[in-house]
Amino acid sequence: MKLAKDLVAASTVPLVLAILADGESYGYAIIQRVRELSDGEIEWTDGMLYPVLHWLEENGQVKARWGESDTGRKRRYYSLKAEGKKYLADHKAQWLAVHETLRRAWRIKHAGA
Amino acid sequence: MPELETKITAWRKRLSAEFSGQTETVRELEAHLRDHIEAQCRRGMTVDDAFAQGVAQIGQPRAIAREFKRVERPWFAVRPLVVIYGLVGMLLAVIFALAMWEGYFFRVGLLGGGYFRVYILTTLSGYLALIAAGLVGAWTIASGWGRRPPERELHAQRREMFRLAVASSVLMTLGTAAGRTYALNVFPYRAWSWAPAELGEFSVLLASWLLLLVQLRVIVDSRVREGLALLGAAIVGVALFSGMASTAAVPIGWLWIATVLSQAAVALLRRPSECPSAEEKPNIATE
Repeated sequence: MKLAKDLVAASTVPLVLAILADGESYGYAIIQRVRELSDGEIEWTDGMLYPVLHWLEENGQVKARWGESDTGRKRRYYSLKAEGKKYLADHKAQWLAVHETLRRAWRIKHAGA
Repeated sequence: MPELETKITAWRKRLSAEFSGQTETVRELEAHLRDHIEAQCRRGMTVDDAFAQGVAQIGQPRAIAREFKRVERPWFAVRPLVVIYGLVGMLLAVIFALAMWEGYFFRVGLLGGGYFRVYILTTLSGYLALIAAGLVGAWTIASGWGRRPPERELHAQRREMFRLAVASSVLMTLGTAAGRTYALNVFPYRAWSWAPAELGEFSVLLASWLLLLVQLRVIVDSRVREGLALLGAAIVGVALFSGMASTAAVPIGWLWIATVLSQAAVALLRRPSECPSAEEKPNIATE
């Protein structure tokens, strides 16, 4: 199953913020985590994650710093800021509301069918 | 491994051609590619395959660069208020330095009368507030050019424009009242003399009031709002182009530009939409 483009686009920001809510991370690791969490259902073009991360940084939701990997290579690490946490909380409530509404609608349909 | 480095260097060059001046982004994408190669090699993939797969998964540099261009803005666009208030602060410093140089404050002190000092200070601050409103107007127009600005930015523009309209109208009202009271004390029965400075101030006062009025929620009709905004810009324009306000005491040319920009911006700034636009967010979905 391939998710619709609009759905992938809409879920990107909450998904990235939710992953960063677990702790500081970097681009490659975020993408691996998304694949893992979605069982490979959500496919991103890896490079396209970076405009999102920079956009979040510009909007004050995340902060970034250059750090080093275990092997001593430079990496840019991202972490959540207070505004990002607030944004995530708001969006979580909205997504859960949508999820709950769809769940009820489908259950009613199935029950009636 | 030297072969891999040659490949990475060639890929980085292709990337740099699309991301001119964005060395940090190129470094970050390169770090991503190296992370991928490292991880895949640990799983048993050959270096060549891991490189080819990594490059393919990162995507077309041109498409990524286009997405960056769509969402990223230069620092002065990210922190416009720092630029605006920095410019106004510099203008104030220049005015203050020139006034000190000319011994203006000494003369103001001699002319005396608290009203005159209040008149000078409040009118000058009112002009500066209007010039800042003009800069906010320029920011609003520039940020909305060819794109819908994020809701956050629109909110900041509305808030700042309203604050500056309140500041300039209150200060200009106080300044005009103090100036006329001073004139009445010095020249009995001549509070108003149709002098260029008075006409200039009065046109700016009216424009400030209109700038505030068009932003109030009582004006719901967008045509009325646009009409009032046009009137505000026209009043100072008439004062400038008729030569009625030609005096060194009123920077009428600058104030007219500020009025046009701020009134155009408030006419353009629509009420907040109920739904934030989807276009303002970056789009990660694969083609």
